[in-house]
Amino acid sequence: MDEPSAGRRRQLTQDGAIIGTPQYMSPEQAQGLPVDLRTDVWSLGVVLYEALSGGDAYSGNFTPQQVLFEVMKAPPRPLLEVAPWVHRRVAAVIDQALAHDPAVRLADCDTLVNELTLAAETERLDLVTATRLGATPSGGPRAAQKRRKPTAQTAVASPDLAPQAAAPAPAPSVRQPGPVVVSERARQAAAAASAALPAKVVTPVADARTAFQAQAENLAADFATFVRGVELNGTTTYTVDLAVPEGQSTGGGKHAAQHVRLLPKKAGGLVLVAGTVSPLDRITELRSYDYLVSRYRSRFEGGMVPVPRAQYDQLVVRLASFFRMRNMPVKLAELEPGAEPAAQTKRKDRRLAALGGGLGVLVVALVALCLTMFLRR
Amino acid sequence: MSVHDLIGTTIAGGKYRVRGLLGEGGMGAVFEGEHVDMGKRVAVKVISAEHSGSEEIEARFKREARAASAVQSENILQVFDVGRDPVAGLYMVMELLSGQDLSARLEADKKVPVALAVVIGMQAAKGLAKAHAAGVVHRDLKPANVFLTTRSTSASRSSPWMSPPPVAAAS
Repeated sequence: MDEPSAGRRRQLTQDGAIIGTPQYMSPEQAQGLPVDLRTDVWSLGVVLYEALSGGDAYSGNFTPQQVLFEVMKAPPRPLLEVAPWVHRRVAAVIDQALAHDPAVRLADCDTLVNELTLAAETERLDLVTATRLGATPSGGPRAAQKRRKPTAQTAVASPDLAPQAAAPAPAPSVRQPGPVVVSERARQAAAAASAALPAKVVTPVADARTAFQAQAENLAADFATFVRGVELNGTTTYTVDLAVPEGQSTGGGKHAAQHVRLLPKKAGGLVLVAGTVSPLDRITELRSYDYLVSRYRSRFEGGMVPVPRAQYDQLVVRLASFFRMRNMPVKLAELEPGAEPAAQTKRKDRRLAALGGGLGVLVVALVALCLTMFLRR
Repeated sequence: MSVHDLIGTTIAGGKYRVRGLLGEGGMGAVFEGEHVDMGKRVAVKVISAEHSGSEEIEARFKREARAASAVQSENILQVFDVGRDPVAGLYMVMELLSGQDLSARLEADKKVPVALAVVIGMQAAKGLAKAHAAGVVHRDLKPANVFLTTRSTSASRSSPWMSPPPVAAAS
């Protein structure tokens, strides 16, 4: 763990005329040509290619110069050839991000987001579970910002770095880029095939469901950022979140709604629902304090709501601005018509409370913009 | 002076206290730090004295901090402060993360599940799209620059309730 593998060692950014890391550099960057945002599309494509295939797109036992040369010469082999387990539509997106000619490459990162979203929908990938469970780090909890002390080898970062004698021999079948002509042709065929695919392959219902789920998940993630650090301090301390629907339901409507929840920090406390977001029309209903009180009292006769009115009102104002900024209609739910039987609500709240404990973790990919973040010589 | 001597001291005019060492590299080190008045935990990168003197490095350091702070995205690492401390040299104060970078993850697990790779791709692309919209091209994206961090939806934080910002400023 402390000793970076030979492959990763070479990722140290080299100082010199060209800033960047050879194996992630776009062909235009490697050639020293002017670059624009499409260079980042390429680099992210290489990162994903490696994360999906478990191999290096460009590597082997190359010096940085050789890697640069390989990058200039040809794109990596089509992802499916080296990683047949990757879903076809996902692989097609990665290959399009790795079009050698920037003019043919996916135009920008927004397009990449859209293409990945569409591919995930089509292939019915469970992004929600991946987001929740994928974060399990294999290192210690603080591993993220641990910078390994450079070894003698990593410290050698001059552009004329010689091949490392001790490094293992490359596995040519997986790692070396294929011959130019063949791989170009294969890539064009793959691109043509994917272009010919109908945009939607699965049933519209399932498709819409996945889209709702993705939308709900994004909203919840934005919401989590918005309320980060927010607490309500009454008789119990509460934090705020926006629940993600737990999965598919046939009912839609209420069951698929996202709940704005006030979560007690103490285990076993009662979860309060401050509002709901309808997945279909995105109408957000925030509950007034009196509404909240009436709901609470319908279950705990005469009980004091464990959240002070002033803090709650402030929260509602703030949350309303969050949803309005996203062009979502916001309604205030005043004293209510009692749609749900109290017993059912109680059960549900208990379920939510139980969930609250386990729902804590979302993986978020963060890009460090600062090049010098990664200390190098 | 070794970077280890900074631990326990304050930098940036007493604003941040340097806590434990998170990592060390050729040009300096990254520490966990704490804002003295607010208690906020941060990451502090310090460029070692021998490199701190270079005007080129200082210019690049500040340029990068400016670029990063021009971008508002939850998928871009936040930079809070940058400057020169008489003792520590050049420093940059950043968001403190828990989790690991993709490079470490790939070292340990070789690859990641397809769905997770898609999530990582979508989120990193969202961050980059924001950067591009702000006129910043990254140019050095690689697994070591992509962090997988966890955001706890029920995190136990001790920060007090804050009054809401004016709506106009809340974006």
